[in-house]
This record gives sequence, structure tokens and C-alpha cells, in this order.
Amino acid sequence: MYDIYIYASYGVTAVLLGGLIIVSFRQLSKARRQVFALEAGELKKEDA
Amino acid sequence: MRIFAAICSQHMHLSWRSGQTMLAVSFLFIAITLLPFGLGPELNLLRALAPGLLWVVLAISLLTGLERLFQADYEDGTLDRLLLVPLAFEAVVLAKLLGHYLALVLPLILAVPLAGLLLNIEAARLPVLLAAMLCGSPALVLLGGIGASLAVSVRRGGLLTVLIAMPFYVPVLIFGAAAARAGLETGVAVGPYLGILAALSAASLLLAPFAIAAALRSALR
Amino acid sequence: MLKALENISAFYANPTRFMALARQVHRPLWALAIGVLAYGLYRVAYVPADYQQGDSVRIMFVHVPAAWMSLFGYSFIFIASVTALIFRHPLGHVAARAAAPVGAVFTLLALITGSLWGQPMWGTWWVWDARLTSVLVLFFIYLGYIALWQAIDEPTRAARAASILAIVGFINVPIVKFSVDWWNTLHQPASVSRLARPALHADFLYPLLIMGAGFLVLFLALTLTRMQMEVLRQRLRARARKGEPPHV
Repeated sequence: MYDIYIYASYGVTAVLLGGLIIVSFRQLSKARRQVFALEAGELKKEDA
Repeated sequence: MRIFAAICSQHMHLSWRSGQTMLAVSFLFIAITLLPFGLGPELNLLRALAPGLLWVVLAISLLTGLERLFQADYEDGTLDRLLLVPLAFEAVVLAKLLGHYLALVLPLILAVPLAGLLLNIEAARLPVLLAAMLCGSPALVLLGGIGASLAVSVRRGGLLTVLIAMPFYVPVLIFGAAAARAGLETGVAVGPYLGILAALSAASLLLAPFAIAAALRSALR
Repeated sequence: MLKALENISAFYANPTRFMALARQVHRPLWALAIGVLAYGLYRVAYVPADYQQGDSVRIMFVHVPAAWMSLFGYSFIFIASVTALIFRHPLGHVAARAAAPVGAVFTLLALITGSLWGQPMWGTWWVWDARLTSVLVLFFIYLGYIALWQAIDEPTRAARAASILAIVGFINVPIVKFSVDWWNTLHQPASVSRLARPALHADFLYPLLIMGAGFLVLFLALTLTRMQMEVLRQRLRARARKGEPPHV
């Protein structure tokens, strides 16, 4: 009878925490790519 | 000491001239007038809700006034010059806040009893309401000042000021409304509530100027 | 002991060294988080139904740890801000900024699960009881803090402002808690009972503590992930401001 609330609670937990985890990792990899690109670009400019 | 008074009165003068006071008081009465349209004209209901409503409207009126407090001085360079004044910057901040309080907040508080009459509070109960607001308003101004100083230099920082100040206002509103409500009933001691409000104001007085000064210094660097 | 801690923190104040350490710790920390959470969920699944509340007591095992983490998060931000502002450790600001969204999400989670826990019991989606109201105010504190970081463009200024807010706000939290508790006892409606905690004997306590530990490790893992991201963003901003390095 109360099951829907339990499912909803754990579902919301999964969605919110999962969302935060996914977003954080995506932000991290994006930052890594940008820094890598920046440093690679600078290295290329030094060679040229 | 003279510098303190000078800064204080200068701010008061500016507040009056720019019509800030009139604006804030008008806002108070506009809000109080709109309430019966939302709640219905039944006098008993209005009377029961009045203490809380008046405190909330007061808090919002104060916040709208505070937003301008540091913004204008930041923009025209006055704040930079105030840093150079041979007075501790925390004292300068206090002077500005005192000027703001005298020019804007006091008139607002003095207008509250009239607003209370509109909401059907009995005239005999009004002094308690006034006393509660006098005890709690320094806290509101000082804590709101923290929000205003942190948000200074942010474009359209008014909403940010409100968001920052809101959690600080919760204790003051709780005890302020409780004091006002106690004042409406006979036989309920109001003293302890006023004491707590005064304590909150005193604590704000001790802490807020340092936080505000630090925030303004940070913005000016 | 204190001197050793000082030396360690000074050593890792250098972002490059911190990033090296972070890279090593990152995966093990996440593995630990997933492990503890999995074990916690397993234990929760086998908790017997509470005689009073039936199965819905299981919601407690996410609601209470989430509330714990919302408080822990803000304490973390406070300590990080003090470290940054008073001890001038450069990673303090990074840690505070990284932890903020994590704490905010846990707070939101506590609010939603609190509401879901209460609905079958009270028949309404929300009650202004002491704990939920305090958590709601805490949520606004988080929002204000995050908004301040976003609103100020210049990074050092934003960091200083945010740390001032964190420190002053932290002092406010117990005052708010006290006021709201008092306010709630004053206005206690007769029909609504507070979020009744089932008797916390071992059957309930241990799964709760395990879930709490799991949430804690998850918080730390998420914060570490975000700290790395913040350090990299800092690097990007520094490069962007310096412009192209001069060439021979």
C-alpha cells in the first residue's frame, strides 16, 4: 500500500544522485579536454 | 567621531532627497492595501494574520531599500573614497547603516502602527508591535546589509541580496511575529520575546559590520 | 601531529601535486562509495517492516542520511572557507565551490524524501514541522551560496565573497535550528504528529549507519571529482586571462 512512496523515494534518490554524478563527470572530462587542447595548441605554436 | 556623524548624516540626507523613504513607506501601504483583496475583508481574519503579515512586509520593504544602500556608492566611487577616511572601515559601515536606519527604517517602523490599524489591530495593542519592531529592526538592517554588501557590483543584484538575506531573517521573523502576537493577547508576557529580539540585534551589531566591511573591501580591490 | 598535518596540507597546496594525488585516490574512493552503498541497500532490503509504519519506514534509510549529508556538506564548506580565508590555503576555495552543489542535491533529496515519507502518514505533501522546515531554510542557504559564486565574474573576488557568506551563514545555522524548533513547538497542530522515528534498535540502526557511511563516501567522491574539475577550470581561466604566451 505504501509501496509507491518507497519506490518513488528510491527512484528520486537514484535520479538526483545519478544525475549529479553524471553531470559532474561530464564537467570533469570537458575540462580535461579543454585543458589538453589548450596545452596541445600551445605546444604546436611553439614548434611552428 | 565627527567623521562618523558626518557620514551618517550625509547618507540620511541622500536618502531623503532621493525619495527612498517615501518609496519604502509607500510600498508598505501598497502591500497592506493589497492584502485584503487577496485575503478577503473579514476583520477577524486580518487581525489574526496581521502580526506576521506586517513583519513580512516590513522585511521585504527593508530589503528593497537595502539593495540601493551600497550599490550607488560603489558605482560613483564614493565607496573608494570612504575607504580612505581616517576612521576604521567597520565604523564607516556602521555610520552608513545608522544613517540608513534613521532615514528609512525608522519612518517605516513608525508607519507600521497605522498599517496595523488598517488590519484591525486595536490601538491599545499597537505600542507592543512598535516595541517589537524597534527591537528587531536593527537585526534586519544589519543582516540585510550583509546581503547587500556581498551582492554589490552584481548587475541586478537585488534578487541575490534577498536570497542571501532570507535565511538570516528567519529567526528575527519567528520571534518578531511571536512578540507581536503575544502583544495582541492579554496576559501573555511580551518581555522575553523583546529580549530575544534585542539579543539578535545585539549579536548582529557585533558581527555584521565586520562581514560587511570585508565584503565591501573585497569588492573594491 | 599538527605539524605533520600542516606539512601535508602545505605540500598539497600546489595544485599540480594535488591533482596527482587526486588521480590516484579517485578510483579507489568511488569503488568504496559504490561498495558501501551496495551493501547498505542490501541490508535495507532485509530490514523487517516496522510495526507502526509498515514498509514505508524504508524511506528513512535515504531520508535521514540525506539530511545528515546536507548538514555535513555545509560544515564542509565552512571548514574549507575558513581554511581558505584565514589559513590562506589555495585549495580551500576549490573544495568549498566543489562541495556546494553536492550538498544542495542532498538537501533537496532530504526534502523530497521527507515529503514522500510524510504523505502516507499525514495525508499532505508538506508539513511545516521543525526538521523539514530547517532543511528547507538550509536549502535556501545553499542556493544563495551557489548563486553568489555564479554572480560574481572575477574569480578571486567571488571566492572571497563566497567564503565570507559561508562563515557568517554557518553561524546562522544553529540559530535558525533553534528558532524553528521553538516556533514549531508553539504552533504544533494537534492532528499532526512529528516524523516519528521508529525505535532505533540494532535492526534499524546498523543499516541506517551503513547508508549514512555510504552517503558520506559518495559525498567525498563527488567532491573530489568536482575539485579536480574546478582546478582545471581555474587553469583554463588563468590561461585565458594571460592570453597567448609570447613567442621568440
